[in-house]
Amino acid sequence: MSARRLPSGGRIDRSQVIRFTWDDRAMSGHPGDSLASALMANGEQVLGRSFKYHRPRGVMSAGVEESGAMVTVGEGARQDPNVKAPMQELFNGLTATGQNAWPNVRFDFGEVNDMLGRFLVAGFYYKTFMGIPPFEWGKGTGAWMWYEKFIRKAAGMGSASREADPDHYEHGHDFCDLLVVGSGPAGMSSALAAAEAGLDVMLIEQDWELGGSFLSQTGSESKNRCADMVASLNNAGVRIMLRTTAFGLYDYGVAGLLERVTDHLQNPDRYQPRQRFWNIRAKQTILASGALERHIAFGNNDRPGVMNAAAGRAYVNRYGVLPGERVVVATNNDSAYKCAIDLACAGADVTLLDARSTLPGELAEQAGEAGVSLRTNTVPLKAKGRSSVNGLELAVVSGSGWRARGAESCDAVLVSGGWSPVVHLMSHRGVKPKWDSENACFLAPSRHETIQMAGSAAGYWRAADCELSGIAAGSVAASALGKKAKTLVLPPIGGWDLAIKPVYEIRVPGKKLKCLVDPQHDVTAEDIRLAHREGFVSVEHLKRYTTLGMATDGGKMGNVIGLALMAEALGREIPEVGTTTFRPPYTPVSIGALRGRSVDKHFRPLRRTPMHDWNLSHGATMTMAGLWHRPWYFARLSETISEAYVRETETTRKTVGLCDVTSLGKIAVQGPDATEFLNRIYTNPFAKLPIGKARYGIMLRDDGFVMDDGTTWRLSETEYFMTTTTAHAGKVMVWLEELLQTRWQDLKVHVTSVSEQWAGCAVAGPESRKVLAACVEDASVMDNEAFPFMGVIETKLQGGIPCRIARISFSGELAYETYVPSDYAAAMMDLLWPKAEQSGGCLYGLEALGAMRIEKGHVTGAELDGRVTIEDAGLGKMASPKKSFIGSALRSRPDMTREDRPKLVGIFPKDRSQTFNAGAILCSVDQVSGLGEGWITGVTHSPAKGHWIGIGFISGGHQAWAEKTAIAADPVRKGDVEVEIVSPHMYDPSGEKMYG
Amino acid sequence: MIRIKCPFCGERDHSEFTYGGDASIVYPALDAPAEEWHEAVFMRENIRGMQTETWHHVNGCRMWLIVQRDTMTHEIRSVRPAHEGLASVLEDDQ
Amino acid sequence: MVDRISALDGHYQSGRFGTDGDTDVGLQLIRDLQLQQVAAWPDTIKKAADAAAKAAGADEAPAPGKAISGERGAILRSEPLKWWLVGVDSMQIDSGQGAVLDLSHSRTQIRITGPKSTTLLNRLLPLDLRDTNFREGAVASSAMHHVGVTLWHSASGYELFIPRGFALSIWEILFESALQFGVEVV
Repeated sequence: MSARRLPSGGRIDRSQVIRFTWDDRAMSGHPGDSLASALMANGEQVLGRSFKYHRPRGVMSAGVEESGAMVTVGEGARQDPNVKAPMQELFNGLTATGQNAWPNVRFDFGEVNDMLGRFLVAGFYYKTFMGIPPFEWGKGTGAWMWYEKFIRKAAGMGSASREADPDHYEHGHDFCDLLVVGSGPAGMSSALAAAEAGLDVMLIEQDWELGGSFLSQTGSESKNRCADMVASLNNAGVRIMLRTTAFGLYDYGVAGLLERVTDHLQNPDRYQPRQRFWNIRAKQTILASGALERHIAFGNNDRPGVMNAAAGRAYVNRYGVLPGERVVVATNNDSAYKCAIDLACAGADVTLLDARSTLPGELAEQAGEAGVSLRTNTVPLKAKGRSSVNGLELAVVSGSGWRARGAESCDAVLVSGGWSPVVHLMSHRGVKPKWDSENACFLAPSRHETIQMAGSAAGYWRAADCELSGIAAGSVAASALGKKAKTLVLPPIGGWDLAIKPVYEIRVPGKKLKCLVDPQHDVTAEDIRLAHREGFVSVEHLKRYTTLGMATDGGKMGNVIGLALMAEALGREIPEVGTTTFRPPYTPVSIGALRGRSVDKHFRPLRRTPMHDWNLSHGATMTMAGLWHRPWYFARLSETISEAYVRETETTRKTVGLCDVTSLGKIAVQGPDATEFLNRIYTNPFAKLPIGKARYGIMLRDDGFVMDDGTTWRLSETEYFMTTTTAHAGKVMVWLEELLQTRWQDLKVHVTSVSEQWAGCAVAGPESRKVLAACVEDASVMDNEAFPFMGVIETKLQGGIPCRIARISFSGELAYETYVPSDYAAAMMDLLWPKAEQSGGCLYGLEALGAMRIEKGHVTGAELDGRVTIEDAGLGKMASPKKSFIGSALRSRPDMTREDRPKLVGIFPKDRSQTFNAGAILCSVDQVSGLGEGWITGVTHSPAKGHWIGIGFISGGHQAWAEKTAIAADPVRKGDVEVEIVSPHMYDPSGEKMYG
Repeated sequence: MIRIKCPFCGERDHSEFTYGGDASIVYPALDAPAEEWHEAVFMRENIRGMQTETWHHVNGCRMWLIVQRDTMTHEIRSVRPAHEGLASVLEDDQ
Repeated sequence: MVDRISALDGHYQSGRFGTDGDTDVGLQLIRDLQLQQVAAWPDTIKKAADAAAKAAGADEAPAPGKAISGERGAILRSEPLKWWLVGVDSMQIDSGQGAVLDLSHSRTQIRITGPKSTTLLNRLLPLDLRDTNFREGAVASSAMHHVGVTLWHSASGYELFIPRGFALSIWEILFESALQFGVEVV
């Protein structure tokens, strides 16, 4: 006989039927059911197979600690493994399957592992597959790699879908005065007290209904009490979040929440995220997170039909499911009496075993009246039956231990081994819970930082006391935030009529039993003792060796029993052994929720230039440069990237090319002390830069290495326009702000990023002047004399578009950088491009830009990697000997000025038909090993040279390598290539073209 | 997550800020000898407890702040603008 | 003079989108933003504040975290020594007293309205937008999807200023997040 649905009672709606499937079989339930209650009502007993031994498992609890009914919900891409059936709300169309079994959970070939149990003890894989010493020293890894595949397949939980997640997720942020975790009697009353005192309160409940332990109580009184409180909470404006788990508590009152938005819906609105990850910042926090009932380690205590007593009560009272007809309730404390009474009243034949020698008077009387048979000094020894429990061997007190005596026939065993307050969230704050021997549980301090514990989470066992402690905590929170609130005198914690008798494991001499401590990971009491025999003394080591508490329940089921057994083995008390640290998350959080919307195209924000669409409509293939999307090349017809960039380079050098350079960093430097400021940050003199001129400048870091380079344009007496490299734009801006705000507070200078304000186009090549002259309103401003090299003008393009132009060159040709306000970018390109086209010009992208700058020996972020001095970059002349600047003191350190430092060079393949890769290591011919003599940072085909060239660094620079051959070593790609080292200025070294 | 009480913006998540460094360093004059600069740039205490450090409110008001923070507990004792002129401006604003 | 092309042009479609039922969010691109930044020195802040207030046609310049609407435009206190003049096309100030900078093209302005506008913003923005904290006239800068943004609670709704290069990316994520509320793109 198994569980059955009662004709009446519970919080389910029998007038409506919910259809779902379990292992491809159609079943039904009612609104208000959990998957576990519905499966029980359908007579299903074996719902899972255990991790290691493939032991049959049924429902063991009614909550997050579930370690038996772990199932897979959903199909295909939405297959979600390891769902705890008691936590899954039933809905129409739900599809669930058993897992970790073949062919199914009811008949599983893997069950053979259970017979082999003695070979599969704690740490078996370390011992068995790591190689047999001393013959296989060092060979173990290989063996393990081989065996691991099979072990992984045989052991474990459900499997995830291999398909991409079709759902979307999102984040949310919120703020409140008080965050209350848990909506049982304590949580609801604390939320109410605080809200009535004027606080903005958020109440978080992981269940789909408010009420906590109210939900599994009988009688209209508690039902009404619960309903009244819910109504009051709504009236008081408490913000309630259902189906939401507070999984972590962090500094400064920050809580991490997981809201399951659509996991309970058959046809969710496709615009709703599946789950939402919340960041809540609360001024005060109350943890009314309840307590979890412990089991007892007795023989086969994981058989289907064995569950905790509170769960039995929940199934009867909340779900209208009677767990069995002949029920044995085994307890060591008062709490299970209510369960026994409720089951007896619901029609079960109930026997209650109390491990204690006396009975709690009033409770025992009530139980007796309800027809429960009571026994003292009696505990369960071993569950009988395999796929379901059909009897229970018993043990009775014998001295300080137990001895076997008698048996009961039964179809359900409900166990209460005491209660563990949920102190997890407080533990996240770095607080070690302390053992309370009177109540046999770990308790967190009632207050820490701005956090309070309330209700059974604080160790109150009576509902009335829980409510009181909730009101008190709510009042404390209110007064802490300056609200008037009454102070309450709290009852002492605990509250049982008769003290608990600590019972963790039942052993009798001469009987071998499989007593599960952590059923989810198949850790037995014997495993704990084995670990002790093998020398493990710290609980943290014990945990990792036996994997106790490392399953998806995070030790909610078995931790305390494990610690107690370890303490016993060590001959110590539990407080001396201590407990392991609870860390977030309290219950599993999907990776999808953590990533939120930062996925696919939103993996990172995309930064577009104002010419983005213009570039695309003119044939650009784009590439990423940091967050920027930039044109890579503009292929014509069927051109490859190489053909395209070579053509673009040739065309630009011959006529004219246009290139989107908007991504360069741009900073407005304004103020009476702007000149002095620039003079301090750049290595070269800026004090005498005239208005209407630009200057190339290099900035060092404090330690003397190069930070960035760029041109700075003087627009007026007190205003400059600074450009930086694309890569370092943000860093330079922050650095300038730091200098002005921390070191040079006397300077009247403002820096503001104008990178987004201005769109830039490089117009490069011999025809560039002509093209621009045809586009500006007044062509005379472009005259060579009026607008010399490094000149700056502010003028207008046709149509009245304001623009600023500087005659600067990255390509080595006659060239200009033209900037207009961003919203006019397309208009600028529409002016420039027809004129450039008329001159036989082209659009060019990053690849051609790179080719031309490599030919010229200009450095970029690839060279300025933070390890390069200004001399290394071949720009030593840019460092003024006449002034001090940032980095001037430390750049003169001996190691920074060594002659044999790697210096910027050009690189030619010795055989000109050859090529090599960026990233290759430069070595001398006789020693192609180790760190080499240098490295290659950029490679391009040079149309000007007619062969491949590179740029990079090598010890001593090109003079030291004149007439010598070097090796570009690239062992995993191209192999070794012989190269010549040349001056980095490989194209037009005298700059005739630029100045022309 | 640390929350930092910016004197301009109010209390904000630390994700809006970037960490700067040791705020107790007094950087020498630009023309000071290399030894002084070496001392300022490279020599750092690894403090266990209250530390004075700079933070930049980069996704906020862009102020550089001086923060006293306990490296063990993340407790923040005080936050003020690094720039004294800004500090007095904000005091006047209150 | 040629027309300005916004960062959203070519990607902006007006209409009703998202879930059936109520339309709880409105999104609107505010075109042709005029934005002048006024920066003061610590010892000239009062004079610069007066000049900014005058340029916007307001009685005074706002305190930190605040905005004031004047006859010609609104003033937002964006940084300790800086104000933003929204809707003002130019302004002069003596360089000894401060500095003016045209940022009109640097930001894309999106207006967010409707009963769920706060909820929508808080899906992406870690700011306390509760009525007790962020009433009309409030201004704050923060980060949305890693991008620094400025939010102003104006008389018309929330005005979000996004760096132009990121505007489309942020618009897309904002729009996608708004679908669950029913959204009208104006």
